[in-house]
Amino acid sequence: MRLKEQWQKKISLLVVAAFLMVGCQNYNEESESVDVPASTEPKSNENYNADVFNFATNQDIPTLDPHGSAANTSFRVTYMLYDRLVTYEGSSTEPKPMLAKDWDISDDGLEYTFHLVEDAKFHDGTPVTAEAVKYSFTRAIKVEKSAAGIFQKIIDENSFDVIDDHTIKITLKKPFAPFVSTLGTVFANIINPKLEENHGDDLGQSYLAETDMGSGVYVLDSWDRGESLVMKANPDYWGEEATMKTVNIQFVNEPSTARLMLEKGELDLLDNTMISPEVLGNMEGTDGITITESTGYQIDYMPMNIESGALSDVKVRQAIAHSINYDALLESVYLGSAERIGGAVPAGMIGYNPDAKLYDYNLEKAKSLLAEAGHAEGLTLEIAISENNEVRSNTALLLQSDLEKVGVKLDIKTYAWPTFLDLVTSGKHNFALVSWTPDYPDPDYNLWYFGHSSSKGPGFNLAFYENSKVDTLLEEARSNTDEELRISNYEEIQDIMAEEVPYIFVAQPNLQAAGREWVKGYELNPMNTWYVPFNKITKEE
Amino acid sequence: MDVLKFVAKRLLLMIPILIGISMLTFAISNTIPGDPARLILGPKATPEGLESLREKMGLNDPLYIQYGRYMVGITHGDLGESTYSQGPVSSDLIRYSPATFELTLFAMMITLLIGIPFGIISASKKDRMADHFTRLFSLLGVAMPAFWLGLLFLLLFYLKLGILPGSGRLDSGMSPPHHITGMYTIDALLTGNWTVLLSASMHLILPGITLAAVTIGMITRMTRSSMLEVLQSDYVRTAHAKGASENRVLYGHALRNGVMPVITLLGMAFGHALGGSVLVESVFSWPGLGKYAVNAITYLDFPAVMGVTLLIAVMFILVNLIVDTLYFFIDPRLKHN
Amino acid sequence: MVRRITSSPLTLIGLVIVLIIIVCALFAPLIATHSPTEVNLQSKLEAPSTSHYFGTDEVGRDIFSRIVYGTRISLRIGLLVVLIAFPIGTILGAIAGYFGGGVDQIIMRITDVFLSFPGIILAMSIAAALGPSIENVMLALAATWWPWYTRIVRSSVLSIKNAEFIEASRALGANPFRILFKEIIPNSIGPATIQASLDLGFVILAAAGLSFIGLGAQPPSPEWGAMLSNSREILRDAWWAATFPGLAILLTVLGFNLVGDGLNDVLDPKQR
Repeated sequence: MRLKEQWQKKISLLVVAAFLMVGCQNYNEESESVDVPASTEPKSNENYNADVFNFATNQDIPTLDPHGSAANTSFRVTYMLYDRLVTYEGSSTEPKPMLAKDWDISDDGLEYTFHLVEDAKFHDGTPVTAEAVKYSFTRAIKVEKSAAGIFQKIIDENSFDVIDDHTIKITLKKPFAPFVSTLGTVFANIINPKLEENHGDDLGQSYLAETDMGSGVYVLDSWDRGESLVMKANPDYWGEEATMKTVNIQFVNEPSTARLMLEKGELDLLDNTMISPEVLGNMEGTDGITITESTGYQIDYMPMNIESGALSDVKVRQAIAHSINYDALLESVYLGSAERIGGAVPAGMIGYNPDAKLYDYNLEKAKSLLAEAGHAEGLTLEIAISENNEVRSNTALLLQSDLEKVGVKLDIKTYAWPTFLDLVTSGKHNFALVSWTPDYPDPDYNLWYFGHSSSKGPGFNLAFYENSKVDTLLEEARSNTDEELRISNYEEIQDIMAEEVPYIFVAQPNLQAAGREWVKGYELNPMNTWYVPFNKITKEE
Repeated sequence: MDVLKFVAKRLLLMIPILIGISMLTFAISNTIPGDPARLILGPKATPEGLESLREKMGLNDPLYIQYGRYMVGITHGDLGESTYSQGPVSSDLIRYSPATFELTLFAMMITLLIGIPFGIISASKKDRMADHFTRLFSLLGVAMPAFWLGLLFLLLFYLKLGILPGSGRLDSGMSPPHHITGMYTIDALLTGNWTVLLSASMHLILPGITLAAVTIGMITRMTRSSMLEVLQSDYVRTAHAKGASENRVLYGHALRNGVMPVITLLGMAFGHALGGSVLVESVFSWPGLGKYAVNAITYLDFPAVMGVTLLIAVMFILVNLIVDTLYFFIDPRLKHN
Repeated sequence: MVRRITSSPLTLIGLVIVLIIIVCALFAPLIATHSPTEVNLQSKLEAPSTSHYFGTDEVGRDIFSRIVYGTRISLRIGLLVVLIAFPIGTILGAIAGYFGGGVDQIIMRITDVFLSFPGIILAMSIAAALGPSIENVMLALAATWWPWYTRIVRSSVLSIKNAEFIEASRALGANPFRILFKEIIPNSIGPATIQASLDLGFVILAAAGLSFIGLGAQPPSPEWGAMLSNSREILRDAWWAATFPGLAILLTVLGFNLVGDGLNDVLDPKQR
């Protein structure tokens, strides 16, 4: 009986094995006789293909409507599908001509006349005209999403004069020095006016969310949400043809998986935000991999809500500033690839004040300031962070252990991104950790958001800071075209804010992206890190 | 006739349950502190823009009106707009469900192929080594944190050994087969695209086994205890007494009656696999409902959360209905109840 | 009964595991070799060694000590969730079973709603809506767990409802709620209690899953699911960071399951 049972067990095992083998064999037999489609060619030599660029990100793309998305991950795609009047190239923050060959600015800084290139065509063959420019800006403002924030105050529907097919005059409501810079942002992408036929009741936002109506150097080929998005080079592009014929953007959740795919050569470049400095450090020196590094305009900072209890006292804020071990933080969280700055204007941008006061790491001073403020017994505060960010959670952990040494108990609260936004803009936080990258290279951008009293809360003045002197200086600089006066105003603001410490600017991190060595010509733009010039990159083995 | 009545009754019972679920999820989604308008417009939005979008989205209306609007929408197949993708939730769900179906079906297949034989072996070898081993194995399965097992598989088979893929549904650069069911393996089979079939099957292995680990444990345990019950029943004893061989008793008499109740559990196991897919899909970048749900939760995209919850509930109820109907056919006793 | 439990090797293993966990939780400061939360950047991502038995994590915390302290969190979650869900479920189940009629219908339809989809989805939405914290995860799990007890208790109430001793108190004119709490509930919670002992493990597992997707424990809390989640990025460089917390979850859940199973076998001799 024993034997029989064993025999039966063996039979059933055999059946299972046979089943598995039949499955495999089928595949082997058939695969030889079936034509393999070009796109599924078996990979030779380490997956290297000089015409196809494989890029990975861990963030899904919500929508492809350039006027409808605030998500950086869609910018990467819409920058390629659409053209703008001007653009940023390489690591330069100077706007370069794109659809606009050149432009004239009137002496009062109000009238901008743009001369468009003549041979630009949308992907359906329609020429790009001044009407299209007018249509696009008008739509961007009407859509009232992120784009509106920039344009609403300076232009409206009536600001546009179509002079001829390829000339357009834009008249600002008031002088705005960084205007041309804003035209290189993704919100200023020019859309085919034929979209009007598909406007529906939402200005075509749901229609445009999954399709492309641009004139850009790439055409959308396919998009499997959550999986991959493929762009093909536009063969009829009016400008220089794209080097990479196919761009395949893949969504890979696990950074470790992405890293291995890169090492195997299945990927060429990783989204620079998906790998923490820690892991990048470990990747350095891996065969075939390079880490591209450059300075960026991103700043990581900590607003201190001055409307919340103990933090309303400047002494407490100064004490906090003295109790952070900045060197250790930069060294361990950012692995040294970050600088400390004293104000809201990143180093490298005009108006940066290198002399703004930097608080030293001085526990004694911090303790005595706290005692002066009446908190010798210590106090408990909360820091809000948004989830899924290694750098910020490690920063919070270090702050927690630093502040403990001066008797401040710091509770870390992690929130989903929307809750976080809601919490900090409505002032329900003590501290928060935020990363910020300006959309155009002008000190007005950061300082107005962080320092002007009208920006409190929803305007992203997350410290709820108010200083009438700062307000006046900001307003004066914004409506003035005198560069020298503007710079001196901005530097003064940084000095005032350093003294009153509504914010601690923890770090200005370098931008780092991991990619294959065979990728040539990739530069990180200090502002538009999500601008990956697929059309200029080459692969050389 | 009986069956039709049974199915009709069960379908009718679904309606109040679905209404209940929608009320529950709607209530939850309205206690969240996030502002959907702010989410859509991003950190650099203007207060005026926020207000006008809130008005447009009907966020300023009383809750019962918002709920009413949602329910009216559902009857037209409209589940609202995702605050994240800003597209209709219904089309998101259609897009993401085939991947989850494929994964859970695959996991269920493994579960049946391994779980039932294991359960039978365990019961027939009660208290012997084989039984202890299978019991421990199934207990480990039930106690297994699937997300951890997934990480370990990823670490071992993908990151260290590199013999199985660890991300997505196809090799990079491969285009999916012609869309028929949306399940890549089946579509590739139907269109005879063997390269894609191989790639899709390889990609299924790690997430599939991870997901199956828990359900295998469940089914093994159930099969064992149900078989034991049958083996100790009077008619099996009679068969023994009549001198029938042990195998004849086991496979001739006990198997049918012992395995049948396990079928009723398939619905539950399926539900378990669906729940497990939430965590497993995110480990393996599997673009299905689970990853969609986690993404929706991360961005507090509540129209999407509601949609995905309702869909999973409907799927779960339907699978249970199918299972019960099957059982209705198999077990004649039920017809008289 | 004790002998019966200890005669099964699996139950014995379960008991040992549960005991170890309880000892770890009670004497964590004595057992742990380091502070569970202290950041030590000089020793980050160190492999297991004699000074760090399970290695260190990305900010240099000792993983062994974190796991030891983590038993406190996990046990607390398991116990509290069951202690909240069990009484609610039991009372509702007893009411539904004993009074029947409309009350029964309403209660059971509500439990149907809760049980008609995978609990983790509901728990996820509740936890997300309440905001991420360990307390909210407990609330979310309790909110999804009670209907199971309601079902079990209701069916056992139905089976004893017309028993003679109950009829007797009813005939004596006892207050129905008195009967409910003095007679019905004590005599019908047996099966639900076994379920509760099994659930201790499953609650811990579910909580770890929620923490894994970022809804539960907040840093620097040494919750096992959160530790696993943190290990994802450094998976390739530090296998130990992912391995040990998961093992801790597995063993804990296994321990409670084995004990629960053992109890079940003892109290339900049918399966012996």
